[in-house]
Amino acid sequence: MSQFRQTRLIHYTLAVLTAASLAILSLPLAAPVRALRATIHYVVDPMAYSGFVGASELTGISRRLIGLVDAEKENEILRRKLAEMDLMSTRLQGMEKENARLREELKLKLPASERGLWAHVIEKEPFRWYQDVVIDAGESQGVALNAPVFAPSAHGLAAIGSVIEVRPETSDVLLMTNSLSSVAAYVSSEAVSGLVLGQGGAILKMLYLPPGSKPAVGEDVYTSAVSPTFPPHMLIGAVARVREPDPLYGFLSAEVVPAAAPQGFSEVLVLVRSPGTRRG
Amino acid sequence: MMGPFGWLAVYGGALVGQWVWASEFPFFGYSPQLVLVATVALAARRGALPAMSAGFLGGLLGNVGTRRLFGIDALAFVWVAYGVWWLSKNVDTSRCMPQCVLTVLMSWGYAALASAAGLVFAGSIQWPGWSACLVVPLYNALAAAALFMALEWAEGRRRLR
Repeated sequence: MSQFRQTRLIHYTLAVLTAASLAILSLPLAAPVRALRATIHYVVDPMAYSGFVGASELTGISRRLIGLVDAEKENEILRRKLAEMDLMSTRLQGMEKENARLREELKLKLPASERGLWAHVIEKEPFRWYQDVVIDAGESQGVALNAPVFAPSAHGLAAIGSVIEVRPETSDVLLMTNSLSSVAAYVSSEAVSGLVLGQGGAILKMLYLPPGSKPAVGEDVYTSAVSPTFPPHMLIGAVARVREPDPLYGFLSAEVVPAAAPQGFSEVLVLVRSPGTRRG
Repeated sequence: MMGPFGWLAVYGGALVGQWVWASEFPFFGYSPQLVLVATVALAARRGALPAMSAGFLGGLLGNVGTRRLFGIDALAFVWVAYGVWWLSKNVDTSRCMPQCVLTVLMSWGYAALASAAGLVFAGSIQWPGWSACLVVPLYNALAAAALFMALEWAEGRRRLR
């Protein structure tokens, strides 16, 4: 090939390739070419890759931040729910206690003329711990003088005393441990009757047990059917000690531990007249 | 003399090497333009026609993976190959030093042409900056020297066989 011809060929090639380059530069790229460029650009371009990685990291950070905020909100909601649960738990416990009380109350075979009224102990004097208490139920709620009063104990409802003074909204309850208190009672196994007296302390005294009877320690003591105040067969306590026969009168006596000690109750059940009935 | 496949390998290596170098091992933020260096070497050794064709294709391929105007490298490398051929009429381009000097000159020519084409086709001069205009041609010259020695070594082995 002559040099002149080769030079001409070079110029033609230059012109063709320049025109092609200018055409490529000026014409819009087809979608597949743009996609290919974008793909290759994305794969090989370190800046794009770094940008992608950085953006991913930033995206992750924002997602984590959002997650943290959400978690905090959720935590707040859960904390409130937990507080509500605590409240509900407390209420549930109260309801369970109430349920237990009501179950005990159901054991009471009350005459149709009487019903049970739950009241709170609102006053207990330290110097009169075993003497009397004040409850938040009075004449307005139907409480009457000499109404028997019971309290929950480990073995069910137990007799604790009777109402000695009634005010419109409150009443005084004379406890069985008071030295002025006395209740006709019997010991479960022997079915022998006696009289339970208060001594002003934690222990009751049961007098007039027949000389031949042998009440055992731990036996339960119940209210007698002859008691004018209490319904029969209500638990009073348990025999703690049996004393020697009285040399003068010859009867036995026993120490009785009350089933419901004054320090063990804050709520009591008072028997009141049902509406529209009169106490016989 | 190295055959077409040998030059294909050189261009492929230059393309890949330029991407890897630019992304992983830039010297002070710059890297040599290995495709341009290969185009200069091809034009100096094999003439304008193969160098223009290879420069055109290499430029297009090189532009695929960059943000630059698509086709700008093809245009520039075609003219680089032409420029080397034109200068080789008066300069002995078969030696190392002239090739390095040509590479530096073509690097500046490339920068000028790319800037002008950017002004025309992208609406703004795509000027790489003065520091790039000083550093990159130097890198290109060093790469041209290395390529010259590698090609001499390869052709020497080929002659021995």
